[in-house]
Amino acid sequence: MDTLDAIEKLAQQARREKTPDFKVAERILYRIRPEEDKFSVLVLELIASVSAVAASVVGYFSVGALRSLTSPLMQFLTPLQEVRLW
Amino acid sequence: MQNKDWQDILACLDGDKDSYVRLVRRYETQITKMMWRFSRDPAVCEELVQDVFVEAYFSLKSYRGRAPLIHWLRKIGVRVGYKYWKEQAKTNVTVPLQEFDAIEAEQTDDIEPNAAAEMLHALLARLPAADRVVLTLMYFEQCSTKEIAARMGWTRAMVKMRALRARKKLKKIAESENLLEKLGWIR
Repeated sequence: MDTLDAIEKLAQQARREKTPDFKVAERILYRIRPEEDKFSVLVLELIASVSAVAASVVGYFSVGALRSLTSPLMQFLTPLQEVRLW
Repeated sequence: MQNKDWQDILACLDGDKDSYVRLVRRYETQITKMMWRFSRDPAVCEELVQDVFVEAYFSLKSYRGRAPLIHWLRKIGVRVGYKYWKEQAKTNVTVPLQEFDAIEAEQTDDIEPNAAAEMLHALLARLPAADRVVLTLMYFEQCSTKEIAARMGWTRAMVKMRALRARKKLKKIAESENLLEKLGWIR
């Protein structure tokens, strides 16, 4: 008998093999969920990054404005410097 | 296409995960049977089955319903298995036929299917992944060249050429490993 015929007959028998039975539904559900969680975390991180950038821009401009301001405490004490306390 | 499938797909796309569980339960046996051809290690096979359904879940939007769902799942399965073999090719672990016990049987029907599948799987494992996938689908799944071409996204001419070359290679390997001597029923 030819080798290829022998392989063909081997295949005929191999097709009758009983294959194992797996129940994978629960595991698949578990694997699907983390992907969605990762997605929501990613969206959250994106929003957080945008907020941080916005806060930095506001902070950058407000430093200059704060420098030009006189301290409110000093404004409160300035009239007292001119008063003779004792 | 089954009406039940389509209802479950639409529900799943609407965010109902239970409908996807129903789809998985409906087809897991058929997909397991196919993935068993790609790995005979139960743990690996189970992982491959999961990969098929997880990939299908994330590609469900692209399913147009032109062919039955099982055809689409099988297409994904073949690609998942092919990818697995390509990764495995780097380790290059094969079992020589000498390690198998001789099959003592007078008639073809007497050969134990499990032993036959084990031996054929070991033989096919010697081939490059592309050749192996063509012959695996032909021998185990009885796929035509047209079906293989559709599943792999290759042309039919390419599949025919590959099958021809793969058979020649397989014959050479089987002869060098004395396959005919191993098979008692040949005598």
